[in-house]
Amino acid sequence: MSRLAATILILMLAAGLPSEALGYQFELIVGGNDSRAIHLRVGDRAPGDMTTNYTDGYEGLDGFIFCVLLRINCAGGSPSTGGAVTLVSANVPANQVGTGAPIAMSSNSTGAHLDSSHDGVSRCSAGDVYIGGFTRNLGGSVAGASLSVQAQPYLQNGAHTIPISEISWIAINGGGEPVSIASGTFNGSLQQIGFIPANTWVEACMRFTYANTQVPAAGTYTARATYTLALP
Amino acid sequence: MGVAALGLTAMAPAFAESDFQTGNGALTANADLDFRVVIPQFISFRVGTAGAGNVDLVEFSVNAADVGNGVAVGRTNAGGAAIPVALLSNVGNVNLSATGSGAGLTDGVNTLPWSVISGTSSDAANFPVPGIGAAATTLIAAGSGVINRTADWSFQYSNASVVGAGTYEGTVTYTAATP
Repeated sequence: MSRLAATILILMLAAGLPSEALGYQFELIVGGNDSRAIHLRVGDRAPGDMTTNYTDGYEGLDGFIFCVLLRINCAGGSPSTGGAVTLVSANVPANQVGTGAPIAMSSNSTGAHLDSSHDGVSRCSAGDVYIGGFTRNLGGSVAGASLSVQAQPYLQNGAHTIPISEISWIAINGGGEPVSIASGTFNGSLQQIGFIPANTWVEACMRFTYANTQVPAAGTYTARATYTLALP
Repeated sequence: MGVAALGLTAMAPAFAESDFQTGNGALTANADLDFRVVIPQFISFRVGTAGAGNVDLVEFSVNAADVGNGVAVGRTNAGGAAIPVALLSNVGNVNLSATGSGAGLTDGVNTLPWSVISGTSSDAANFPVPGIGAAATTLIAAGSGVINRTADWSFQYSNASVVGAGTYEGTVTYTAATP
């Protein structure tokens, strides 16, 4: 801990500031003091984050005091990297294959994996996929980070395929931050679906649907989508 | 130590559910999501009028002057209309077969063998009429494993023999099945 930080910490203690804010102070020291950071979570939390929530230093009055004025507590913690990839699936009934009647898809996220990483609130319904993250860019010149997704062009089962455009999603607000993530349909190309302004949390719940307009050969078809948060 | 460790993390793209990257340059965080769609096997096969329980009647009414003259007789009811058939399946190749009830068309103790009934298809190459009691006909699926075909089947009574007067009836069950 630097002398400056220690001094400020002592001043805060003397001023009777909330312990939560002091916790952020320690996070800053433990996690380093890089001025730029990004966090993206799609689906399940990393194992190390199951019971931990994170904020970004600029948010709220605390953020203004600590991060903007005092230039401390801007990290808001350092979420873990890792975790199993969440699976979103649909089983089409035999008498409905290719009828064009959409089939709701469901994720295997449960429990705390449906909760916000920001405030811990239960945000998404069973079957949904949580998506959220933040951008820290203290004093930077860029406005924030772009959020995009690229899915494989086809769901594949050996030589048989289903166009990935059969899968679409809606992004809904589970009661937390405003939804600024777009709803859409995969097209196999890079698709921008949102923007996370600097020093802001953005989160939503994604609910996926299989359009069911195709009659494919029987089998299990799989594909992967990669979400990317990029801070230039 | 914390700064050094996070710096290394920022250089290695991660493909996990949750990603945190920090550093002083451009940053990229990635998270994957997997999708799975399970398509079950099915065969949808229709012969005649659509609807559960519908069994179409194909009637051959032979004129008294023509009985047994060897001139085939086509359907005489429903305006002589052909029977629409449709097959939609996703199981690869499909075998088509036809099984007649009993030994043939019957009228009391009198019987006409099923061989007196034959059929032709509007698409004989892709959706032929299977012979009654004959070996199954295999329909070849395209590379997609899906068969989606329609045709009109027409039937004839051979009228090759003089038979006892009466109304001969029987039922043919057509079956589509995986080989």
